[in-house]
Amino acid sequence: MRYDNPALRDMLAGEYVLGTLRGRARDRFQRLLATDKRLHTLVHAWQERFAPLAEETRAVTPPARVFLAIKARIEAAPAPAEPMWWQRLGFWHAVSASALVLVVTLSVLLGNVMLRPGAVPAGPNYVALLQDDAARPALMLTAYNKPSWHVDVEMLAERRVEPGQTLQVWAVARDTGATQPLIMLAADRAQRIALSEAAWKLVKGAEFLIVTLEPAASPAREPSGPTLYRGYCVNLKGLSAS
Amino acid sequence: MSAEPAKQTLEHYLARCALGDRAAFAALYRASSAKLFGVLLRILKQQAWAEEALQETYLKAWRHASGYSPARGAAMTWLINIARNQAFDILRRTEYRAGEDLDSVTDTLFATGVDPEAQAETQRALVLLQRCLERLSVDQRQSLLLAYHEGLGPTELAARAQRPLATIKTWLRRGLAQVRECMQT
Repeated sequence: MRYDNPALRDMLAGEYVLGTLRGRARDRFQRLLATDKRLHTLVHAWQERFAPLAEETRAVTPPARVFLAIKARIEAAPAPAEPMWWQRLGFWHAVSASALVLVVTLSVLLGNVMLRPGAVPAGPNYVALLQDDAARPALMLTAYNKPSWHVDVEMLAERRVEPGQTLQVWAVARDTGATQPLIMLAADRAQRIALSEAAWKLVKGAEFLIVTLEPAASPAREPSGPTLYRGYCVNLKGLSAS
Repeated sequence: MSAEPAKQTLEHYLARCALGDRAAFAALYRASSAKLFGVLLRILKQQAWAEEALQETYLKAWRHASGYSPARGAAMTWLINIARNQAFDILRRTEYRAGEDLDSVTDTLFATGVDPEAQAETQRALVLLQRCLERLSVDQRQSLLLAYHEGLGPTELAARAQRPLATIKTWLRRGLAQVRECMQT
């Protein structure tokens, strides 16, 4: 079969997506697809054309055992080829424009976290990289449940804080969107802060973390100033069906 | 000020899966697995195979989440394509065909639990596609729909229609060409 005729290529792409390209022809097409970017584009166009048909198909809830099996396979010993969890953070590009900065920053910083003498040998349970309005990394928090609940804070950008003021970290809940105070930070240094059980729950339930500037004397109940930094709170370990 | 709750979309869950966020993966599964399972059951007919295909689909989605980019289309389309490929791999492996229930072809129940905006977009796309399919001959349209929904190959379509294989292939190709042309305009 010839794969250099444009009309034929598009027709094969259509048949592939439709499912009528079968047997060895399908295998050959798939091998070609792996290296041929323009063929991929044709396939993608056909997928988009037909996707509404699949979307209107009646949904059927799968039995719970399917998710349990998936979970068991994901949690089984990762293959050696699988990247370390912090290398996967390089794929932040899907949610952020300043990908390169983040990749480099996270790799270096998290590499340090992992290698630092006395550091907890296991990786963190949660990580949040907070950025300023211009998407520059400003602050990184890594939360651990061992040996006890705590969060490590790395300041990535200098921030002048007037006397009498403090940086307040807030957790924004995934379910309700409620903003609740989490911890207060010193602006000028890396620090480790112990978390109460209630605070740990806030981290667990957080969609993202934000930082505002607040008066140091009276702990704020809700943010009184504009959000300085914001970042997703990413769960690196939990996987539950419920 | 109070921060707005984030809009939870499949795109968002996939982006977090790419970061290794397992809670987001569980959420992605909850939000999309019934739709994919429906698609798989319809093609594979057998519960056990559909379950196997669903497992493989989500393992792939987890491992390749970083390969998904919102710029290239909706997350549901991306997931559906993984699932359909998985189904055809199983068909290829087994060469099995269950006794299909043809009546199900016309059944077009709409699923719930989808973000309304995305659903509206889907509805517009569906109307456009259906308008184009209506312009085909009945034979062409039925062939395309049976192939897409029920996973029938050309040989099976020929047996079903009691027409030569070459005729079926012509229907399919002309049908595809017309759909493409119609959807460009």
